[in-house]
Amino acid sequence: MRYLNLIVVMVLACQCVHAATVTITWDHPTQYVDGTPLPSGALTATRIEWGTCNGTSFGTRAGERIVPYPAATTTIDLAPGTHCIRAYSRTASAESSPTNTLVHTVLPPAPQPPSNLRVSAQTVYTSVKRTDRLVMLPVGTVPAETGCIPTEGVIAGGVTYYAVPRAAVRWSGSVRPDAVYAICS
Amino acid sequence: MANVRVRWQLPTTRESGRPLPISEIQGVEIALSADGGQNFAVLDTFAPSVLETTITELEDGEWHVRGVVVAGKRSQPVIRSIVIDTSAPSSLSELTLQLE
Repeated sequence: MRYLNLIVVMVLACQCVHAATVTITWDHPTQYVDGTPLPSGALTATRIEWGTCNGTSFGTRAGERIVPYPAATTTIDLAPGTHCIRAYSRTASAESSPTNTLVHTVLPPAPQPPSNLRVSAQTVYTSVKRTDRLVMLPVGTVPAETGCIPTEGVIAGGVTYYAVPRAAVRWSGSVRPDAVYAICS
Repeated sequence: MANVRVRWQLPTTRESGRPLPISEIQGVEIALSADGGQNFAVLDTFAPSVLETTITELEDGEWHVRGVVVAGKRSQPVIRSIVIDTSAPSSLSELTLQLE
């Protein structure tokens, strides 16, 4: 029999842990190896086998599936890694040589995104008066989850700064005003 | 709280040693830091004719002032610090009572 044409057409998401569903398709042969026509109904099945690779050659078999004729597609679940896949056509009395070997790599799934993303610290400021304006100067930080005092604040450079509890401040230097402010959302 | 007067003198040369006419100076940038010099905020950029400014109502603590001359390019900064301490004086070292 002429060799099958074997194609890995797609990788689907799989419910399995760290595995991917690989869809394999092929074309059935139409002739025996001597070139004579293969009668309709002579084929009985296609055997798909997969395993390790030795370079681009088939290594050690890890699994196989017998797909009854006339089906020309099947799916297999493969773990992340590089796999070699090949197929054989079967009649009632013989099995063909293997197809070309397909080398297929299944990538591990992407990790989930990080959780509990947060700002670890928020800068707090004191104000210095200049003519007709305020200049805000950092004096320390507070934990990001620190609540602001919505009734107390200043506007500088068009930005509203709200007072934050002084007790929560981690001071950067020795300037430690009674009132400090932060940009609160 | 306290007021701090900041004074400066303009350079007369460039880093190369060549003369720097005052007409080539765009200004002097004065910045202030309240966190030990980690972060500075610009208070003003003063014209060459201005050689001092007063920063008012500063809280107790150590303040850093940075001055930069702008004449096309910026000079290396000069940073000075001052400590404001308007805290109450310490207690009497001794207070004695005696019957008479």
